[in-house]
This record gives sequence, C-alpha cells and structure tokens, in this order.
Amino acid sequence: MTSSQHMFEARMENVRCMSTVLKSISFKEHATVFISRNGLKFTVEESKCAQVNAFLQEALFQSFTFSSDTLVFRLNLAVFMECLNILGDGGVTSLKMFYDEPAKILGLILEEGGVVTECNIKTMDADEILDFNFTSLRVVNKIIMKSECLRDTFTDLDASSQVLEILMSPDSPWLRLSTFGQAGSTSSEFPRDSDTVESFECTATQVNRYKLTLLKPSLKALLQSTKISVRMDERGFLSLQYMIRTEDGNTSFVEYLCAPDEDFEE
Amino acid sequence: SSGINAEYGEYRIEGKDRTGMILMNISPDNLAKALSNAANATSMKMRLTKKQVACLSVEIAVPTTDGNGQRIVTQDVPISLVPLIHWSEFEDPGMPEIHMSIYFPPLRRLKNLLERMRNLSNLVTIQATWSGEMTVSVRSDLVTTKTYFIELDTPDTDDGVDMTRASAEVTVDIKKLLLFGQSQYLAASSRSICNIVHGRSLQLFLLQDDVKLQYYLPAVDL
Repeated sequence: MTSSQHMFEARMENVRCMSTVLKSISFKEHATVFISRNGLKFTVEESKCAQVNAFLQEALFQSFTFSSDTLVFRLNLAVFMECLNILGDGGVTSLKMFYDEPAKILGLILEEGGVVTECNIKTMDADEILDFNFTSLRVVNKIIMKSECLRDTFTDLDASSQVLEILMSPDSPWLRLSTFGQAGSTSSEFPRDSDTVESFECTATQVNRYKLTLLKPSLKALLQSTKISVRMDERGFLSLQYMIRTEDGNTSFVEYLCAPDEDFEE
Repeated sequence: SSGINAEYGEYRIEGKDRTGMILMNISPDNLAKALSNAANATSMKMRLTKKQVACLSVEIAVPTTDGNGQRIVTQDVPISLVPLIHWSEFEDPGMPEIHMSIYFPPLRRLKNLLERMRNLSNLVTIQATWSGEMTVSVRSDLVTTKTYFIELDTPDTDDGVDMTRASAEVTVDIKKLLLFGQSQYLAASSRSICNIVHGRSLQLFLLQDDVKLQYYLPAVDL
C-alpha cells in the first residue's frame, strides 16, 4: 500500500455519493468535520438543542488513508458543497480530497470528462461539540419504519405549530405525531402492524414535544432516505436515524438528535 | 450585425449619408415584446414610420386558427433617431491589439461552472495559452478554485494579434460574464471565441449561422 504525502487522503469515484448525503444536512453554513480511520463525520448544530451527524464510512471511498488518530476542524459547508458540485451534474465526477497541517487546507480535485477543478478551502479550529449522550442502553422506545410513509406527514406539518408532539407506546396508538397550530390540532397515527413498520420495540408510553423549527431541517434527510429509526431515551431525547442509499448502492447514515422542549408541562 | 441579403426577402433603405445608414435608439424590451408574436409568423415586415412619434412598425403575418388565412398584427415601437452629428459616439470601438485568441469550451459547461463560482466570488480570472489550454479561477478569503480545460481550438488569427505572449489572462466581473451565456438563442452547436488583452479586457464573439454577437468586458482592478 502506498503511503500518501498528505495527512489525510481519500478518493471517491462518484462525488454524488458524498454530495447527496451532505445535502440533507446543509441547512447551516458551517459544519464540524471529524476524520478517523473509520471515515468522515460531519456535524451541524442548531441552538444547542439539536444536532445532525452525517456518517461517510471508509468503505464508501475507493481509497482512504489517514496517518493520525483523529482530526477535527470547522468547515464552511456551503462553500464545500459548491465545490463538490462545481463540475455540474452532466456526467460522473470523481473526487480526491486531502488535508494538510499546518496549512489547515482541505484540498479537492474533481474530474469529469477531461475537465479538472482544484479547490483549496481554508478550515478553522473547531468549537466544542455538544455530546448528547444518547446511548442505545437508555432507549425506552424504538421503531424502524420505511421513510415513504412519513414523508407526507412531515412535509405537511402545520408550520403554525410551535411544537411537534411525538407519542410512542407499546399500546395503541403506538406512534402518534401531533401539531397544535392556528387551525387546530392535527394528529397522524401509525399502527404497529402496518406494512411500513419493520421493527417495533416499545417498552413504555412516552409523550414528548420538540420545537418544530428544530425538526423541520430533518425533512431533507427524510426525503433522501429509505428507512428511518425513531428512538426516545429516558430523558425524552429523540434520535432519528436515516438510512440513505448512495449512487453506487452503498448506504450512509444521517442521525438527528433533538432535546425535548422544556416549556412543555404535562 | 448580420449578412443582409441572406436574411431578408426585401430590403430598402435610404440613409442620411453615403453609407446608407440610419441610427436609431430603441428599447430592447419593447422590441422583444413586439417580436414575441413572431414565433409562428409566416412573414414579418419592419418599417420606419411616423405616427405621433417616429416608430419602427413591426407587421407580423400570423396564420388564422382555421388555417385558411392570415391576420396581420402590427406593433409600433417608439424610437428616437440619432442625428448625424452624434454618430461618432456609436462607432465600433474597433479591435484592440489582442494577446490571445481561443475558442471557449462548450458554453453550457462553462455556464454551469460560472454559476457555481458566482456563489464563491464576484470576480473570475480567465487565462489561456496558445496550446489550447484555458483556466477559469476564482479566489476569496476562504477558497480558491481553478478549473482546467485542455485541447481547445484556437481560431485562425490575422493582424491585430500580438503573439509574443505564451499566455494571457484577465479578471472580470463574473455576473457580467454570465450574461453572455444567458441567451436562449445559444444552440449546442454555437461556438464562441475568447480574445484576451492581457490584464485589460476580455472580448467575446458568439458565432451562430449569420449572426455575430460581440461582447466587451473590461478588466476589474483587483
């Protein structure tokens, strides 16, 4: 195996495998990037109450070399996305990306149909990232379902409602999403025996409310995904995990973490 | 400008001077609106007339819906005639001595690229060499990008080209350059020529059939 002169270097045959996944988290200008031997993680935070993580595992890349243990930096995600898409969507664009210290430059080389673009993006030091401490050990309720059945519900959520209330229960109504807007309250229920529910592990009834403005951006990930896992832990924290199929048939994950709305009094 | 006899069935003009030219000012929006009926026209006639004001009267013959006849739609587009003494203001600036002449890569490709780059910077630098290579780059505090095109043709050049430079470059306003690629008239087959006066200006020629569109962009001081 040849060693790279860069601290980090990775190649991808089709840049769309990365850009479609990142498109689902690109609702903020900046992201924190974590590089390890397992792959890349892009994290976007919202008001300290919500966090989205996109995982691009090492297996998605044609080659992946990393000569350190971990690397963290802050990246202008909007600029990064423009660069990934710079050669347009006519054909298949290949990507080589690399990172060097102390320059702290993220380099990209994109190629399509004989045309080559080089990009050099300055990165910044990363701020502290919130650890939501969400562990599967403390999960009270978990449902895995096909994304398509939630799409309409999520797209049509009443924007005049401050919150989205989620009920998860081992008994009827199993899973219920409710909003409370100007026109009144709306609920959608998803029975456990529906075709779209692939796995149902609910142990206790939980009802929690989450600020709708925090959850709305997760719609992008929902639209790109084939499956979603909805989990709630003892504290009422919500984890939405989206399985996204990439162009070349591999899978990638985006996870959405959200703290419950504290103004809610039961 | 266009090859006169190729396009028009009938052409008659009596100009003010020996060149037989008439200069008029006209609003492109008004003319475009008048011509918008012409998509299905069987024929069109343009005449200088005087209604309340001087006008370019555009008469368009459109087939009737029953297919048996035609109706004439006439639109009068107001114009103002330019007096002879002001004609020197409208003279073609002429070709400056250029340092580089090269065909652009396919315009749709270039347009996609420029639209992405526009989100990164206001200015774009175009550089080309006589061996058919062109780079298109932007630079900002955060990012630099450079796109390489190779194996581009260079047009036959005549006088007015200073070939002493192996390469030439110029930096221009990216939005203005994008305007050039905006026209719906651009077919995939249209070619365009990029002439560079190093550090001074960019001159673009779009060639399609008998129509030649010429566009000057001055360099922007960095």
